[in-house]
Amino acid sequence: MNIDDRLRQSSDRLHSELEKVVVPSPPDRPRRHLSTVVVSIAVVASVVGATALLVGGGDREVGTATTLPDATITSPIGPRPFGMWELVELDDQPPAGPAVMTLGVEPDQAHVVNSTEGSGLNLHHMEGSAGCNRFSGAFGMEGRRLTAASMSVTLSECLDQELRQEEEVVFSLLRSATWEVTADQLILVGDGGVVAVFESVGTNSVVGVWVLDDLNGVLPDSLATLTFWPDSRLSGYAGCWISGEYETDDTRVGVDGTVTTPDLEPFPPELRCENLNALEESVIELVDGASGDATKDKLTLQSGALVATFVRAGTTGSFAWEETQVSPSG
Amino acid sequence: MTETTTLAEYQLVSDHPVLRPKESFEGFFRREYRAVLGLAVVLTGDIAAAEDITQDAFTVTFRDWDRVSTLESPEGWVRRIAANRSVSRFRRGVSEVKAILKLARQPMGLHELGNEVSLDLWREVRRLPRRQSQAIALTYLLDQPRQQVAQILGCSEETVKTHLERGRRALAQRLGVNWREGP
Repeated sequence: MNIDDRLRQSSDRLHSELEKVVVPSPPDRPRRHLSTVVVSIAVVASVVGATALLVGGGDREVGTATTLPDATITSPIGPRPFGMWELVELDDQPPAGPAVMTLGVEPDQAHVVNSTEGSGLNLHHMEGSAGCNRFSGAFGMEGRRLTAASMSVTLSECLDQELRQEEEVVFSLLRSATWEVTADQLILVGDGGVVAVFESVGTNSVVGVWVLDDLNGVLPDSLATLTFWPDSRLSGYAGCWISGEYETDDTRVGVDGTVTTPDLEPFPPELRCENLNALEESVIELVDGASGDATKDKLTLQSGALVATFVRAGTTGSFAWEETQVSPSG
Repeated sequence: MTETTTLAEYQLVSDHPVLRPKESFEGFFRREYRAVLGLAVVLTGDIAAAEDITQDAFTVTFRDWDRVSTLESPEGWVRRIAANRSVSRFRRGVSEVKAILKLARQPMGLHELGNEVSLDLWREVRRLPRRQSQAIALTYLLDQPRQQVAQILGCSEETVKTHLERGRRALAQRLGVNWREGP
């Protein structure tokens, strides 16, 4: 028996077994109302909730989603904290330092902390400037709670002790806090009752976190994001990490980005820009010199024949953001 | 729609909507579920994770059914999502954790499949580079012609041929069986 025969024989046996599988009921088609589009999209993104819809018609308590009588999907969790924020209040006081503390929260950047043990996988990424230090970290969401699995902070010495203390408070909050997103604010509440209020940055400019929604009419089957930082830095993810710079003049924007993930061990293969799919390759090609326009909720970039539309993360967006938290390994 | 060299490989979307009766999502789901589940099962080796990936793939498809249903091959689209998610260690890890959470709540009832996928052959398929394992699963399990595999994987038919050949050679060597020219 050769390898073809083995593969076909095993496939036939598997088909026989698959015939015994009871196909679960699909959901009724949800009606998306304009007023609830943000919430409904976010919930379809909730895989656990969507599982409930697909498998059980949405009537089981296995996730965060519920199916309303009119089949509109909604979420008790509400909007996610994705986006670009700046600190405006810490424990009822305005920030101490002259520098603005910024926080970018990017969805699903595929940071793998300890993949070999199957733990420590995290879905999202945060990064920012805290006055004199910069920080970045991987985190998950468990309901409304942020749980950081890894956080790296630069070690610049702050001459301003008040600012340094403020940094430490915020870093502590980012490691574990419950969050609330209102119209323009992200509110973090620490276990000790410390409250940090962030306001949305750049809702009228390109500054912010954007999620690919369409590339030459093709639906994305994997997540691609671009983040435009207030200091003209560009970062992103499309199968591997992207970084670069951008220029903007009101709504017009030009980007100059390139791949930055080291093609080396111990980076796992999926982060080493190997085996990128066509969409990811196109996004990487696009950011190398694309230009376009940004509105409040929509960013259009074009480079040659490539035309991509991005939606602002945190306000809307259609990629299925997965919410299930994977416990950090330590 | 504008086409580019890169997107020319991305052939799941046709330039013009296909003129055929639009299928209901329910009909599509019922017809395609087992194939997608099978694909995910052989590529993950974990039934619970495979079920989760299958549901994810259909959720994404469901969300954009108005557009997906006009594609030349909606089947290719959902299989593509499942195939990509199944071989991503990151995605698979997430799905496995979610599957564990689900297992605690409900019996899976797919133990026969569990015995099947534990066979050495599919375990060895999963050890192949991910494009090779995808090409083999799509070709043998789902009986897809090379052209369709190329569409699903977003690469050329020649690339699929190369992946298949290398994968089959590696499998034959590891399993100690003969290798000969395949599909």
